[in-house]
Amino acid sequence: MRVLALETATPIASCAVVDRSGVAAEVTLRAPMRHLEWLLPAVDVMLRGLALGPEDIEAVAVSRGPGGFTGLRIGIITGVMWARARGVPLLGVGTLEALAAAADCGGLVLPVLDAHRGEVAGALYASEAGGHSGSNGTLKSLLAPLVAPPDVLAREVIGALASEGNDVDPVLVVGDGLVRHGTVLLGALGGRARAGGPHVHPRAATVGLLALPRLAGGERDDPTGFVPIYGRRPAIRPWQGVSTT
Amino acid sequence: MRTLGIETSCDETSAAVLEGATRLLANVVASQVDLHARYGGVVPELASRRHLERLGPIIDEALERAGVELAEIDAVAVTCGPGLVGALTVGVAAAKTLSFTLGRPLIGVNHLEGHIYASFLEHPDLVLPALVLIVSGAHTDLVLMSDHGKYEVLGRTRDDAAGEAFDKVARALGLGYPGGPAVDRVAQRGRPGAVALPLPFPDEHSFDFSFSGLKTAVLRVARHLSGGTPVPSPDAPWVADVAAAFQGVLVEVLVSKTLRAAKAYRTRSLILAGGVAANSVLRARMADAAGALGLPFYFPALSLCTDNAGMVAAAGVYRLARGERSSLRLGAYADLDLSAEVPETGVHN
Repeated sequence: MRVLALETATPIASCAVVDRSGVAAEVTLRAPMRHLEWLLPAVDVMLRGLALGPEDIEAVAVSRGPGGFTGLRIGIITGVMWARARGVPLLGVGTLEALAAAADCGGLVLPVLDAHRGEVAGALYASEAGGHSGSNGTLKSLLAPLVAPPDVLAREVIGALASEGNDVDPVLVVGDGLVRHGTVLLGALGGRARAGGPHVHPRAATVGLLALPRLAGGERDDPTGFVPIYGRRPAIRPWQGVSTT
Repeated sequence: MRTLGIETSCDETSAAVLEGATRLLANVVASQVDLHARYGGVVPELASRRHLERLGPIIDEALERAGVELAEIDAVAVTCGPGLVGALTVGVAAAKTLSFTLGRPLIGVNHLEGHIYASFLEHPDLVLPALVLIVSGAHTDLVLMSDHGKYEVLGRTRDDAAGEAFDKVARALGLGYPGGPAVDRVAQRGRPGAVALPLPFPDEHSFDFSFSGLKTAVLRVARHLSGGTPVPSPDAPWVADVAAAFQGVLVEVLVSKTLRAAKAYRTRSLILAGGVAANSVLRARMADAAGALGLPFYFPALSLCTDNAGMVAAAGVYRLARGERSSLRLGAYADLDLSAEVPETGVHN
């Protein structure tokens, strides 16, 4: 099954074509705030490079959040409309899961994204022993995604590890949440936490690789009512706009 | 040719199917008034979330009502600005995806041009050049339309748009949101001359408008007449009088400036456009003024005055007919001016 994967939840967006032989192509857009303009041109270029057209895509996988609200909506509405127009299956993949998979290492992974307003979006996964969390390993969720201040996330992570009876294994922390909140987070987690890169980001390639076996197994999301995992309610500020000269 | 129109620039989610240039097979509008009413204004993030939830089903409904399948759509027209950027983004991303996956041309449309073309849906033989007054919640523009796609903005509001002024006055009078229809209704019971309000004419030479002074005067009068009650009773006679006075003055300003422009510029017709074009007193006075000048006067049916995708499809069709296309790089433009080119759009795209 040839899957188009889209990831637009963070300032770095990407698209990829994934099939059972792996990642056929991936295009990364390092233009924050321009996802709307550049996502489809990137998909177009990527498909042409593979001598493919939209009709050759058999399923669409979309990074579902948590993440930037506007970015998420761009990826999701693109995936939803693609699925409707071409009559192909649609599947959402958690953004934090895709980020953990991008770390591509065995053991405990704590993906963390900057959620602004002093908060981070984080979760905890265990990658199969000996396997890479990327292409052929599987990720087991130990703590479901949450949006919270970094010290609160750390407490939840410690609690989750305690219930697993895991006091020993090191925790690899990756993602742009490290930039602003790394010090607090690592401090609260204690000596067992190690920082991976703040530049490790959720990738369309990992969205696709995670989605492929699930799609092949018949998993689907209904395009109607398919919405992002926003992670939090919006701040309410009515528009006080005025026509400008 | 069947064109799918998509409109998500503010707080109405809409999709339409237009056959040719004038036959609206479907025009579905889902208002978000219920969502924003308690805040007294549109909350952009909530609007964007609601557009995302509703657009797919709204498109389905439009196709079903039109008896048309997605695969039978020949072109996609979408509002790309001006408006709330997050809201616009949902519609634009959807339209681009449909265009790309169906292999059909895409055309980005200026929301204000959409309002203008609402009149062309029923009057394709409308004579140009036309003088257009676009009045809505976010815009009050006096525009000279010399030809299809050729606009010169002669004047615009320097502060509140007319629709905004209606909303704020309605709130002060305890009439709820949105304000336009409520004020129009209550004003019919009132005596326009009973309350004195200043006529705003900031600069006689300019065709610009200004309503914040008028609005402030109304708020002051309302505070005085209410005797300090925070929320007036909508049934109080003075409320109807103030509503009538406010509406009377606002309409007077709009009509007289439009008339002055019609005399100053060579124009063969008058067009009223935008959500406030639904106002009964404004329609009547503009019709009188046009008649006095011997000019044909056009205004859309009520359902086409407020934001809708049918008008967007209509505007799109004329551009497509001239060979215009938008590229896949089309974005969302919060401040797109009517006299400006739509970005990523042209005959060679």
